[in-house]
Amino acid sequence: MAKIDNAALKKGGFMAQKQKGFYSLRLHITAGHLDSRQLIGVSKVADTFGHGYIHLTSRQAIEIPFINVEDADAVKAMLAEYGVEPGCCGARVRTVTGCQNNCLKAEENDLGIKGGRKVQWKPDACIHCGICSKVCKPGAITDDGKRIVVDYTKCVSCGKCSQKCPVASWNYQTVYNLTFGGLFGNHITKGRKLLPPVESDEQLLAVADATIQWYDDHAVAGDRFKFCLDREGWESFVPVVRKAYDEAAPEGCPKADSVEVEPAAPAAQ
Amino acid sequence: MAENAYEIADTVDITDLVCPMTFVTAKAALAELEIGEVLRVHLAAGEPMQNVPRSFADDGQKVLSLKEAEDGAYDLDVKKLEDE
Repeated sequence: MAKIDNAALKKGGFMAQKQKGFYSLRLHITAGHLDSRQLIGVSKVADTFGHGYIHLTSRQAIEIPFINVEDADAVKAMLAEYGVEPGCCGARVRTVTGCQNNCLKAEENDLGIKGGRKVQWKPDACIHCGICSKVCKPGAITDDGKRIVVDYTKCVSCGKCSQKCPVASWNYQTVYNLTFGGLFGNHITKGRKLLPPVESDEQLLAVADATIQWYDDHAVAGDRFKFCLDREGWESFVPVVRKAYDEAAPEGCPKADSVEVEPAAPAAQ
Repeated sequence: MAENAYEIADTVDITDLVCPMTFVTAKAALAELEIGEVLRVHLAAGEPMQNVPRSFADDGQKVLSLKEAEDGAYDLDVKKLEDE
């Protein structure tokens, strides 16, 4: 029998289990969504080749444990029939998902992307009911009964004010809040904010590309982004990502250097 | 404070209810009114205050005002614009 290349298998989503010859297969799932047909395929593979159960991962994916390495090709073929592909594991760019409520802890990812709303009060319809200032957890909204003022240095773009307003007195634009150099695991670290909210998909992709390129230029094998940044110096990265932000900025977008570089949070104990 | 420029046709107190009965009860009270009439809903701070007004707006009704009442709860005035 040919020698098993665990590294290659891992790259393709097959993670060696401690039980000899068995692998847990991680699937490629976008944003935690599977349709019912894909679920049937996963179920069939787990029954036919695994032990009849699956594992839900912390990144909203699925693993099918107890796949025999000799069945790898048959498993992939069966999954393909149902529109499912193997995922990946190890030192690779992986997608993350996060809405503004942040259950998925965007800041703990190498590049954290969290959706949000950039809000603007419009006076015409406002009845000064006080809901917006009360639902605003960071206390960014003050209402003197005539005018509503938003302190944008406190606003976290959660959009609650616009969501709860009963008279549609807020305009908003969908934005992305980015953090850099987060980690979970044993060196848990909160990623740092380096930019104002990203205002378009193109700008987001430009910033993501610049980030990955900088990592590619500076990282050593298996490097996590945070360790790479700490070693090479954040001051080498910040201008790169800010340039990408400014170059792809839609009209009216603030300059990248209008926000301070967020200081590192104290190390976790 | 100036008097309201409208008459309150009916009042409903939902301060002792929890979601979803808060909105269900308030909505049932509004259903009894004619188009153009105003319902006053007495509701608790917190979750009801955050959600009931918006739910009326989503139903196509007009939220006229929300004011803190003497007992620390809130009075919400809703004008009926649509029959369900």
